[in-house]
Amino acid sequence: MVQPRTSPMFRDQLAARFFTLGGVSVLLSLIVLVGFLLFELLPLFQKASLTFVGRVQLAKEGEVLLHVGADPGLDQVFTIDRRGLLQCHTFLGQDTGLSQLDLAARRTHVSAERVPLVYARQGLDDLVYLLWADGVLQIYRLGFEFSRPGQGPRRYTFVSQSILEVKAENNFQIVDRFAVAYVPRQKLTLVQLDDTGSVSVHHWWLRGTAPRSPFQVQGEMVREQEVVRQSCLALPDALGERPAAPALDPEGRRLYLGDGEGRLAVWDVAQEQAQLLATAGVAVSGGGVKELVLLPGGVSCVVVDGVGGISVWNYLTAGVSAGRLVSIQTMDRAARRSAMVVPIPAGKVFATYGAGEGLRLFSLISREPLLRWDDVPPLTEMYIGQGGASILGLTGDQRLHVWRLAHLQKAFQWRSLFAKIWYEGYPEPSWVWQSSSASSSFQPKLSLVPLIWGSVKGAVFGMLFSFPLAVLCAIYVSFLMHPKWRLWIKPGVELMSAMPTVVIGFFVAMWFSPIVHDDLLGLVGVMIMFPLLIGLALLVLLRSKRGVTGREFLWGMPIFFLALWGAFHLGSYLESHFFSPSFSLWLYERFSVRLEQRNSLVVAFGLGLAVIPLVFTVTEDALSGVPKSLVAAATALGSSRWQTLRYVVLPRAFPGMVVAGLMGFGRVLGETMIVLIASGNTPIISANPLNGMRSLAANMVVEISEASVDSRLYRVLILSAVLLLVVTFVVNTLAALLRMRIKRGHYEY
Amino acid sequence: MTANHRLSLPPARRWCRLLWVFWMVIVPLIAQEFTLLDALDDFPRYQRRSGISGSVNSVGSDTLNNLMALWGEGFRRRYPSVNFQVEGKGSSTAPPALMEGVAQIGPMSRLMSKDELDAFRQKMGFLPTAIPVALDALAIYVHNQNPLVSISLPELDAAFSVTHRGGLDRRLETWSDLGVTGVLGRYPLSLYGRNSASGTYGFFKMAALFGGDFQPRVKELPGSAAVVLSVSLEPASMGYAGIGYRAEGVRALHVSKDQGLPAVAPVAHRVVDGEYPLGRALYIYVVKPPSEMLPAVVEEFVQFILSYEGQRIVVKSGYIPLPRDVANTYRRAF
Repeated sequence: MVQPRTSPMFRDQLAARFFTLGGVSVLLSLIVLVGFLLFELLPLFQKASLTFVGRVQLAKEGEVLLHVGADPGLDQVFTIDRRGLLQCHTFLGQDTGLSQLDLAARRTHVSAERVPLVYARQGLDDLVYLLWADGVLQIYRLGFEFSRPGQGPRRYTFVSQSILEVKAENNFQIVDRFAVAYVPRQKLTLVQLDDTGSVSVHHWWLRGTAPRSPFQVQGEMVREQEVVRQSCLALPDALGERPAAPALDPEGRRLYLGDGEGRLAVWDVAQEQAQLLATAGVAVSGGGVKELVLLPGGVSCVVVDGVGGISVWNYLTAGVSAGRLVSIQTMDRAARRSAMVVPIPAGKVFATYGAGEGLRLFSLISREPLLRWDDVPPLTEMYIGQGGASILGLTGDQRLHVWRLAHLQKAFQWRSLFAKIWYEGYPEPSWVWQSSSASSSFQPKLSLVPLIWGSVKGAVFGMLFSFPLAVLCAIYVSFLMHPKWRLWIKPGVELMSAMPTVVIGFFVAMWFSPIVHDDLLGLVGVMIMFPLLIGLALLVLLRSKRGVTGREFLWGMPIFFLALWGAFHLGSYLESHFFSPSFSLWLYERFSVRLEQRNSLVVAFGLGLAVIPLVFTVTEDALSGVPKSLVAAATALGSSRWQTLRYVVLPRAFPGMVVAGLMGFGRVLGETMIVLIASGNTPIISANPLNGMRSLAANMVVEISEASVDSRLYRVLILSAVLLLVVTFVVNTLAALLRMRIKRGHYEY
Repeated sequence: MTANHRLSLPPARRWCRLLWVFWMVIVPLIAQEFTLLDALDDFPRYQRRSGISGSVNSVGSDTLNNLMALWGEGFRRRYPSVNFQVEGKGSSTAPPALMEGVAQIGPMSRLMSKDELDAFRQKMGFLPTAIPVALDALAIYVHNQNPLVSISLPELDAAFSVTHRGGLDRRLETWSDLGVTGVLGRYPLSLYGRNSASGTYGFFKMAALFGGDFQPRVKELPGSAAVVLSVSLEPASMGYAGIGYRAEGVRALHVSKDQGLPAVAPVAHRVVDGEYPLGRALYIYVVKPPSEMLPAVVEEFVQFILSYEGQRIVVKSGYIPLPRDVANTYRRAF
C-alpha cells in the first residue's frame, strides 16, 4: 500500500488556497476592468482651454494689415499688408529669420503702377483669397508645414503656393465688402456689395487641365486648371436699404445678404440666374445686420445684429419649414455692444469678441459660451491661427495678442448627450444619434437618448414575450409533469441557452422577419395564443377533478400546435380578406403606422429564445424550492391542485419568480448580437413594436471600429458601456440579493 | 385576391426560403465577369523578380479585406518567403497604422480626409501616396417585382436623408412619390444601408446625400450581403451596396445626376468613364518619403496588384478593374 505523500489536510488547504486565489483574481480583474473604463472616461471632464501666450509688435505706424496667420506651434506669424507685402515674423519679438515676399510682384496680371490690396480673407484648407484694387483675385495657399529641412530637427516652415489668379472685368468697384467661394477645378465665385445696395456676383467656371477621372488623387491638387467661362450677374435689389454684409457658402451656391433693417436674405446664385430663396427678420435684439459669418460646411449663418445680439440661422431644405430661414440657436450674451465673429475651422465653433466683454467661444449646441477670457485689450481685428490652434487679436497699435486654443476637439458638452438639440439643417430640435461622416465639416450627433430608449424597448418587449411563456412552462414542469419526464425536459431547456446568440440573431433576421412582414396578423395571433393556450391548458389540468398522470403534454402538444397553426392561418385569412392588399398597408394608410421588416417583434422573439431558458430554470428552481412538506400539508388538508398552487406554492415562490424576471431583464438588456442582426439599428424613439430600434450594446459593436482612440465618439461609446455595466450590475445585484434572502428564508422549515 | 396582389412570396416558397436565401448569397453574377475578364487581356503579365523577401502588413478597409487577402495569397505564391498579413477593420484604421509603422500598406475605400492627411503630415513631414487599385460602383437595389427603372440623386437624397440638401424639398414617403403605380405605389419606402463603420456608408453620405444626414429610419445592417438579402425579401424596399454584391431577387437601378439628365446603368465602362454618379475608386496608401524608393517588397506588391494577375482577382471578387492607362501610369510611377 502506497502512503500518500501529503496528508489530506494539506491537500484540502492547498485546494482552499487555490480557490481563494482564483476568486480573488477574478475580483481583481473585474476591478481592473471597471477601473480601466472609469479611467478612459476621465477625459470626458476635460474642458477646452484658452491660454494667453503673449503679444508681438507686427508693423510700424501707417502700415495697414489685412491678414494675419500663425503656425500651430505658435512660433511664427505671417502678415499681409495693404501694399501686398507678406512678412514672416518669428514669434515673441526675436527678429531672426525674418523673410518677406512681395505678392504684388508675383501677379500675372502686370500693371504699370503699384496696385494696392483691398481685401484678404482666410478660406478653407489654408487658402487665402487676395483681392486687388484693379479686380484681380488671387488664391494662395499660405501656411506652415511641419517638415525637416535638411537634416535639422522638424519644425514649421512657411510655404506659399499660388493656386489661381483671375480678373473681374465688368462692374468691378472697390468696396471692402466681398465674399469668395472656391471649388477646385469647378468654380470660383466673387460677390461684391456696394453702398447703394447693388450686388454683383462674378463666376469663373474652371476646368482641370489634367484628364478627369473618378479617382482624383490628393497631393498634386489644384494647380492645373484653367478658366473656361466667366459670367457676372447683378442681383435685383429685393433687399432693403443699406445691405451690410455678404456671406457665401463654400460651393458658391447660396449667398446670404444682411441689410441695415435687420433682414437676412438667401439667394441661390449657383447658375447664371439668381433666385431669391427666403428672407427673414434676423436682428434678435434690434438694429440692422452688422456681420454675417458662415460656419464650416456653409449651412449655419451666424448673424450679429446692431446691438450685439448673436444668433445662428439655417436655410432649411427639409421638413415643415422647408424653404425658410430659421434660427437654430440664440447665444446668451450680456454685452449690448457690437461684436466680432470668426469661425474656427475645426468643428461648429466660433469665437466672438466684444468691447468690454472679452473673448467668448460658442458652439452651436448651447446658448452658453464654451470658454471665456475677460481680460482682453480693445481689438480691431481678430484672426484664427492655422488649424484652429490659436486666436489672434490685433489691437489698434498693431500689436498681436495670441491665445492658444487647446482640446477643442475633445471638449465635451454633457448637454449633447441628453438634451434635444437643433442640429444644422435639421427640421426641428431632436435627439439624434449619427456619429460619423466622411466630411470634415460634419457635426457629430451623439445623443444617448435614442440608444437608451432602444435598449429598454428591446428588453421590455423581449420580457413581455418570454416571461409569461417561461413562467407558465416552469409551473407545468415543476408542478404537473411526471418526474421521469421532468428529468429530461429541464436539462433540455437549459441546453437551449447554449445556442450562440449569433445563430439566433441570424435565424430570426433571415427567417422570421420576412414572415412578420408578410403575415403580421397570423404571427401576432400566434404570439398571443402561445402563452394563452399554455395558460388555458394549465388551468384545465389544475382545475380538473380527475387525476393527473404528468404525461398529458404528450397528447396535448399536437392539439396545441394545431391550434397555433389555426391561429396563424386565421390571421392570414383575416389579413387577405379584410385588409386588402395587406395588413401592413392598411395600418399605414389608416393610422400611418409603418411596419418595418426589422422590428421589435422580431427582436423580442429572438431575445425571448435567448432568455427563456434562464427565466425557466430560475422559476422552476423557485417552484421546486417550495418545501414538499408544505405542499403535502396543503394536500392533506384537502386543498385542490389549484388551491395548493394558488395559496401555497405561488406565494412562496413569488420572490424567486421576481428574481427570474430581473435576471432575464439584465440579460436581455445587455444582449448584443441578436439586436444587432435583427433590429435594423435604427436610432429612433418610438414605442411602436412594429418599428425597429438601436440598443446601446449593438451600437457599440456598430461604431467602435469607426471611433479613433481618444476621439469624442470613443469616449461616448465608453460612457455608454459604463452606463450599460452599471444598469445590468444594479439589476443583477438586486436579483442576487433577493435570491440570497429567499434561500435563507427556506431554512425555517 | 390573387397572390401577386399581396406583394409577397407564395406560401410554398416561404418554407424553403432559408435554402433559397443561401443560394442567393453564394451565386454571383457571372455574365459581367466574363466581359470584364476579356478587357483585361492587354494588361501586362506580372514578371517575377528574384531576391524579394521580407514582410508586408496591411491594415485598413473591410471592403478591401477580401481583395487584400486574395492579392496576398497570389503574391505569396510567387514569393513564398514573404510574410503577408492582412487586418481589415475599417478604412479609418489605416492612417494611424501607417503613421505608427505598424503597416506598410493601408487599404482604404475612400481618400483620406483632410484631418487624416494633416495628422500624417504632422507626424511624418510628407503626404502619404494613394494608389487606386480597383473601381467599385455603389448600386441602388430594389426588389425584382419593383417596376422602377431609374432614380436621380436628388430623389435618393429626398428618400434617404433628413436634411434634403439635394434640392428636392418634398419628402418621399411612398413608392408613388417615385412614380410607381399600382399596389406597390401605396407602400411606404423601406430603406436599407450599411453601418457607419463602413466606407460605403461615408461614400453614400457624400455622394448621394450631398454631405447631409441619414434619416434615423434607414436600417443599418452590418454587411453588404445582408442589405441585398433584405431587399430581396421585401418588395417595397430599397437599399445601397456595392455592385459586387448583386444577387438574384434584386435589380440595380440606373442613376442620374439630376432630374431630367439621362440615367446611367451601373456597368463597368460607365463607371470607368466617370458617367455613373456613384462610382468610386478603392485605394491603397503607402508611405513613400519624397526622393526615396518604396521598399522592394512593397513595390513588387503594388506592381502585382496593377498587373493582369492582380486585376483578374479584382474581377473575380466582383469589383471593376482599373482602366489600362491608369494602371500603366501608376505601374510606371514606382
